[in-house]
Amino acid sequence: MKISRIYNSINTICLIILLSGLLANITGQSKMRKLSELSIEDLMNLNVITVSKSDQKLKETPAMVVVITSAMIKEKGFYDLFDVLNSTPYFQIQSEHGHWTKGGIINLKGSRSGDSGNNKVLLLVDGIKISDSGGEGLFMGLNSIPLYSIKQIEIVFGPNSTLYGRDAYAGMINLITNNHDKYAGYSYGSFNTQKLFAGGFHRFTDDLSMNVNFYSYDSDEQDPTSISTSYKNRTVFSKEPYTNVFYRASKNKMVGLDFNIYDFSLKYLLYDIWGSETYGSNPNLYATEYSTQLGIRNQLFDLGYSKNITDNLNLSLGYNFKLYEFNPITANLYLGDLDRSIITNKNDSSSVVDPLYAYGGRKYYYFRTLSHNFDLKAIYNLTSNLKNVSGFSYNYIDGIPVISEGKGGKPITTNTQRNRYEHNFYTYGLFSEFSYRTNYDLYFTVGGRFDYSSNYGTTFMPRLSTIYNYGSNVIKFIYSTGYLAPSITQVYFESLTTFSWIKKNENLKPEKTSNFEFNYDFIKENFRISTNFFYSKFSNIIAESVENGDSINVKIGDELFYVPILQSENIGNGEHYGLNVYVSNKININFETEFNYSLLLGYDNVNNTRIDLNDNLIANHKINLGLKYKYKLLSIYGEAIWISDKRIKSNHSLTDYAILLDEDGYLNFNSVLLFNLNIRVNEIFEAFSTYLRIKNLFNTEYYGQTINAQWGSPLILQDMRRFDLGIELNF
Amino acid sequence: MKIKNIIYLLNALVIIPIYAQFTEYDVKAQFMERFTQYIEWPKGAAIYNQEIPFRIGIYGENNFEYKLNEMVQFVKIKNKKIKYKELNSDLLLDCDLIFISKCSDEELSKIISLTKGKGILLISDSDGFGEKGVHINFYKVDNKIHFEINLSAVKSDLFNFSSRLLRLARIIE
Repeated sequence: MKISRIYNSINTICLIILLSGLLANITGQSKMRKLSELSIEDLMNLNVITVSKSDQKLKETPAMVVVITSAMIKEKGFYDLFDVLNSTPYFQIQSEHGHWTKGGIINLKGSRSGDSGNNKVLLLVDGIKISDSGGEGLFMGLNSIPLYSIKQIEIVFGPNSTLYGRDAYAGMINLITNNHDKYAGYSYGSFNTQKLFAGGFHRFTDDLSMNVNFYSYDSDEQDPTSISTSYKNRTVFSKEPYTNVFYRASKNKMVGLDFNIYDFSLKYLLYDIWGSETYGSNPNLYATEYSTQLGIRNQLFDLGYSKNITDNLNLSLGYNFKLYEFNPITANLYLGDLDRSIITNKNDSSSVVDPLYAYGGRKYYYFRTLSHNFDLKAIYNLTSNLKNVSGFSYNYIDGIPVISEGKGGKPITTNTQRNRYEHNFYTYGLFSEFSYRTNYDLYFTVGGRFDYSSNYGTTFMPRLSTIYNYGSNVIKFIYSTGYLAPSITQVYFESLTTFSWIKKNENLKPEKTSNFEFNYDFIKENFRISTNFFYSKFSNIIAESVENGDSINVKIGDELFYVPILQSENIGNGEHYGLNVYVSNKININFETEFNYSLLLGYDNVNNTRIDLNDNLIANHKINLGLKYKYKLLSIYGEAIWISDKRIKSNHSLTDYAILLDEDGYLNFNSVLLFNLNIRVNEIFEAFSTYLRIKNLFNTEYYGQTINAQWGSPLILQDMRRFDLGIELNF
Repeated sequence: MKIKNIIYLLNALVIIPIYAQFTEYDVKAQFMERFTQYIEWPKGAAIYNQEIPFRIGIYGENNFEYKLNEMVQFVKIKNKKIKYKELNSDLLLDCDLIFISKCSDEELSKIISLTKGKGILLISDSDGFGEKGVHINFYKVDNKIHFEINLSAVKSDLFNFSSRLLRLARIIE
C-alpha cells in the first residue's frame, strides 16, 4: 500500500515536471537563450559559480583522492557503485552477491565490512551523508546504487573524521549529481535484467531550477531455479508463508529530486529495494540454505542554504531527515527446518536433537532508523593565503533494533515493535581546519574536531597535512584520524543463530584509527603516475558474532541445553600498511592504458591472537590493468582484475561445513583473474549511444561469500558472467 | 504504473528545452563565442574555408563539456557549425580556436610556437598566460569573469580585434 502511494507521488511529480516543461516552453525562460543574449559587458557582470576542478581537488585535499567523471563511467561501463570500486585502488570485493541486500560489500585498505554492511566507508550524495545514521552501512549493497544520474564520483581515502565525524572511518565516497544535461536510456541483460533510467535538469528562472532522476532495475537473477539443479529438485520448498522465489535486490527503484530556489536547495532521495537474505554453505546451491524476502526503503529529505555572505565568507546551513527501513516480508527459512523432527529418547545416544527446533521457522531482524541532522559550515578566506573551514553538526537518531522471531515461520514483527525506538542517541561535533598556502604552492593544513556522543562521550580527532605542488608534481604528507561508533546491530545483536535478544551490550566502545600517508602524483597531459604509502593503527576493533557473549539454557522436552550466544565485541587492535601505484598513459589518440597495483599488509590482534590480514579475508595483492581504444564513435574498454588468495578461519570445524575447510580449519579463497569488457558507440546522430557490457567475460567463479564467511557460505559457484546491452539518449 | 512514469519523464525531457547553469565555464564558453564576433582572423586562415566547421580545441582538462555540447547543437560561429574536441599536441593545427585549460610552461611555449602565424586564436584562464603569449586570458575578480589581451601577440599573429573588445580588456602590451 505504502509503495503504491510512493509511486503515485512519483506519478504526480512526473506530471509536475511535464507541466513545468510546458510552462517553461511557453514562457520561453531559457537560460541558455538568456546567456546567449547577453553582451560581453553583461557577461562581465555575471557572478559565476566556480567549478571544482578535479585536479584542484587533488592538489588541495589533504588525502589521496580519486575522481571519476561521467565520461569515465560510460567508457568503462560502470553501472553501479560496486563496479567502480572494484576498479579503484585499495578496494576489494568482499561479497559480490551475498548476505542480505547488503550484497555488494567491499572492504577498504584492509578494513573489513561486517554484519553492518559497508559501515567503514562514508557515502555522500552531493555532500550529504546518505550512509545510515545508526551505522548500518546503507542497509543495502553498493550494487544497488546506480550511476546514470552521477556527474562525478570523488573518492577520498583514509579517515576523514575531522571534517565529517564518526562515519568517515576508512574512506569517503561523494557522488555528485548531474545538474546539466538530460538523458534517458534502457538496457537489457542476463537473467532478464532490465534497467530504465531518465533524468534532467531544468532551470525555470535564474533563481529557480529543478533536477529529477529516476532509475528502475528489475531482474530474475535471484530466481535460482534456473541456476541450481539441487535447488530446483528440492522437496521441502515451499510452504506458506515462505516465498517461492528468492529475491536479492532484484527490484530496485531510485528517485532523486532537487530544487534550487535562490540560495536554498531542497533534495529528496528514495532508494526502494526488494531483495532477500540468502545464507548458507552448500556449494552446489546458489540459493544457499535460507532465504527471507525483504524490502528496504531509504528516504532522505534535505534542506540546504548556502550563501556568499561576503567575498571571503561562504556560509552553509543544512538540515536533513532520514528514514531508513529494513523490513522482512517473510520469515527466515532454513532448508533443514522442515525436515527436522525431535527425537528426545535419552537411551538413543545416536539421536541428534536440535535444541532450537522449538522456534520453528527462524527469526528475522527488522531495523528502522530515523535521524535528524543539522549542519552549519563556514568557509572563510582570512587572507589570500589563509583559509578556514569551521562548522558544527548535530544529529539525533532514533533506532529500532527489533529482532523479530519468526515462530512457525510467521514473521511476528508487530506494529508496536516497529515503533519501539529504543536505541536513541545524539552526537554533536565542532570542527575547524586552517589551510595556509605559501607563495611557493606549499599548503599546510591543521584541523581538529571535538565530538560528543551521548553513548560514548567525547572524542577528539586531529588532522595535519603538508601538500607541495611543484610543476606537474604533487607531494602530500598526511596524518589523519577517525572513529566509528558501533552500529545498532553491533550494540544489540546477540544471536543464537536462530533467535536473538534485544539486549544492549554496554561495554562496546567506538573503533578508532590513526593514519599516516605519503602521496606522490606526477601529472602530465598524457601520462600520470600516483603512488601512495600508508600506515594505519586501529584500536577497539569490533568483531561481530563473536562466540564470547552470554549464554542461555534452552529446555526442549526434558532436556536442558546450554547454548552460547554470539555478540559483537571490541576484540583488539591492529596495524595495516601498504602501498598503491597507479599509472595511466595515453599512448596515442586511439589508445590509453591504466595500471594499478595495491599491496595490503598488516594484522589484527583478535583477543591477543595475531591474525594476518591475509588470514582475515583480505587479499594482499590486487592488480587492475585496463586498455582503452577509441576510434571515431567507437570506444572499447577492457579491464583485467587479479586478486590474490585469502582465507579465514571458520567456526564450523565440527559441523557439516567442515568439508569446505582445509586441515587447519580455514576457508580458502583462491586467487582470481577477472575480465570485463565494454564496447560503446557514442553519439550516433549526435544523441544516441549504445553499448554492450560483458562482466566477468571468462566466467570465473569468485567471491560469492557472505560478509562473515567464517560462519558459512564461502563460495557460490554461480555463473557470474553478465551481459548488458543498452541504449542511451543524451539531450 | 512504472512504464507510465517513464513515459511521463521522457515526455517531460523531450519537452523541456535545454538549459545551462551560470557556472564559470558556461560563461567562459559564451565569452568565447562572443569574442569571435569581434575578431577577424588573418587572411588565408583555415577559418575562411566554408567547407569545414569552426573547430574549437580544448587542451588540458575539459570543464566545458555540457556547454560546448549545447553550443555545437544550437550555435553557429562565423556562420559555420561548431565542432570541438579535446586535444593533444598532435592536433593543435586542426583548430581555429584553442582553449588552454592548464599546462606547464614548457607545454605552453610549445603550443605558442607551433600555432604561431597559423591563424589559431589562443585563449586560456591561467595566471600569467597572457604575458606568455596567449592572445586572450581570462581572470576572475569577485566571482566575475574578466579578460586580458596580449596585444603584441594579436598583432604579430595578424588578428584584428575590434576596439570594443580592446576597450573591455586589460591590455598587455
